[in-house]
Amino acid sequence: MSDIDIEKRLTAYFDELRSTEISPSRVDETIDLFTAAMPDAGPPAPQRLWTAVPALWKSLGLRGLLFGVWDCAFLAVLAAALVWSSAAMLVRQQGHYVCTALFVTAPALWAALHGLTTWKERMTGVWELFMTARVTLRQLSALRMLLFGAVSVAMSVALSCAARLLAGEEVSLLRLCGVSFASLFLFAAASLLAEEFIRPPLGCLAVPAVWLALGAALLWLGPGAERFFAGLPEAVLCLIAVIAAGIYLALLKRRCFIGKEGVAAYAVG
Amino acid sequence: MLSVENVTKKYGSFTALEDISLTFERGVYGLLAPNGAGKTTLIKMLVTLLFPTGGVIRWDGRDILSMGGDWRGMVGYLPQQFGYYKSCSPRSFMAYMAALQCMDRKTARPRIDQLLDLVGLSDVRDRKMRAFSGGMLQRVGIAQAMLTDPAVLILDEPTAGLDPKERVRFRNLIHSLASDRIVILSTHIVSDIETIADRIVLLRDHKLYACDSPASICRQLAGKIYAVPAGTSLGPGDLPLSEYQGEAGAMVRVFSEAPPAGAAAVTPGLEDAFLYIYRDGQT
Ligand SMILES: Nc1ncnc2c1ncn2[C@@H]1O[C@H](COP(=O)(O)OP(=O)(O)OP(=O)(O)O)[C@@H](O)[C@H]1O
Ligand SMILES: [Mg+2]
Repeated sequence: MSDIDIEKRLTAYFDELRSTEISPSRVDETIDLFTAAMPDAGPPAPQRLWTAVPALWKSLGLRGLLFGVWDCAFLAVLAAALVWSSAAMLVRQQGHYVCTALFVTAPALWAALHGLTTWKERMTGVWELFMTARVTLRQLSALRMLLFGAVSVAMSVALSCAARLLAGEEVSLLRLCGVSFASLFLFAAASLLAEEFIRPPLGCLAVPAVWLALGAALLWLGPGAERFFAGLPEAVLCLIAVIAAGIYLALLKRRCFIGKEGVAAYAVG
Repeated sequence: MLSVENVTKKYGSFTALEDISLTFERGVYGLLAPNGAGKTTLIKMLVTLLFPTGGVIRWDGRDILSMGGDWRGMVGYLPQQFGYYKSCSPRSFMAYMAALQCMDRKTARPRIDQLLDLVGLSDVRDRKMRAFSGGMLQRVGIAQAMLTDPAVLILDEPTAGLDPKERVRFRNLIHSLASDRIVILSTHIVSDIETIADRIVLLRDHKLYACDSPASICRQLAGKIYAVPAGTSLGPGDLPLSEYQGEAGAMVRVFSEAPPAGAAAVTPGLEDAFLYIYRDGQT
């Protein structure tokens, strides 16, 4: 029974109440009516990421998660490999820029995966259709980004180890991991934040653009930047990483559960 | 029952739709209005791609925005520009849509085959969509929208790009789909909906102008539409609507309060109504 029906019947009942005597059967009926209305009126079911994600995963699986965007995933891996290998070359030539290079390039895979899949969805126009499915594209992309995040974290660990090999004994692994995680999650959280609150396409482009500028600035600063990263206590780096990761997850949760107008800029196409 | 209650949509300071109130029950509804009138805007609000600036849209009394996934699961939607992956076959694309709609695989498979058969694409169901013509893609789009056997089927200009034969096929298809659901389709091609729509929704000046059966819309113009030979000089109140080839050469259909000299009254059609209602380039 819908709210309106219930409302109508209740109004009718109260009207009747005013005009006639109450019969016990009518009272019972009203109680039934109220209890029927209760589940709707109760508090909304809690929305938890850790219950939603397994359910989504179950209905989609890895194939569903990356359906139609395998080519983007492949290209992203390629692009990230390119970025990292050129960074490694740079570090070997110049020496002593390990932390800076790591900080600038750690989000490469995440950025490429996220950027290319989003771009493909926009260009093909499928995103609009997928937005109207039961599992919306917002939820789908939240799940994807969880996956991208996990893959990127794993890659960051690998990168840190590689960086340590490059740097020799000077820098501790914990510091390198701290730098790469902090950078990855700062970038990812900032990207989500921008997409959530700035209109596309600016919302999608802002963070990568800022990051590129930042990267250029850090490289230009050279030894100064490296000293800064080497001077930060490891605990601070880890704290930044943890806080950024927390923000990232909170934004993913928001993306999963809070609906948003789904049209890019124009109702017309 | 789907009801649109005092819905307004603004884009910044521009009002695309103002205070629209409509109720939809079973049957075919044709949204008929010129370009830029706000058809897509209304449709996007119905599928929750856009949120109304004012007013609510309810399904059986519940706000569709608060219904979330439940609502999206019962609506089939074909966007004005149907997006698809070129390297996919219709079958795999629909299988994916089914997964996104949380259908289980066992029910989805036969349903997909049945729908592709219904739209006449079973021969090419495993071909890549890259090679499809516009009409074929449009049919994939319709099949895709029907996947969950939706209670509300919403099609934004579904006949754009279809040839006359396809159009007829499409009309029959829609007619057969509409027996137990709400079908809302937008178009600016009068002949597409003249015969199949139970009700025509007309938007003018970004407001609801009328929601009525085609017959009763035409009846408003009864006795006011005349056919005169082309070149006849018209009175000040007369409004030429459209030209056509009659048996005696070129003729013009004219709206006129009083019969012009030498004119024969004709039965008004929906096209006459459309041309009359949107006469001064109104949207
Ligand atoms: N995001 C937007 N910002 C500003 N104006 C918009 C936006 N989207 C649509 N409009 C305007 O709103 C009006 C209605 O657009 P809409 O796409 O709903 O029209 P339509 O009836 O579907 O037209 P068509 O027949 O061409 O598809 C148009 O004047 C359009 O320019
Ligand atoms: Mg439109």
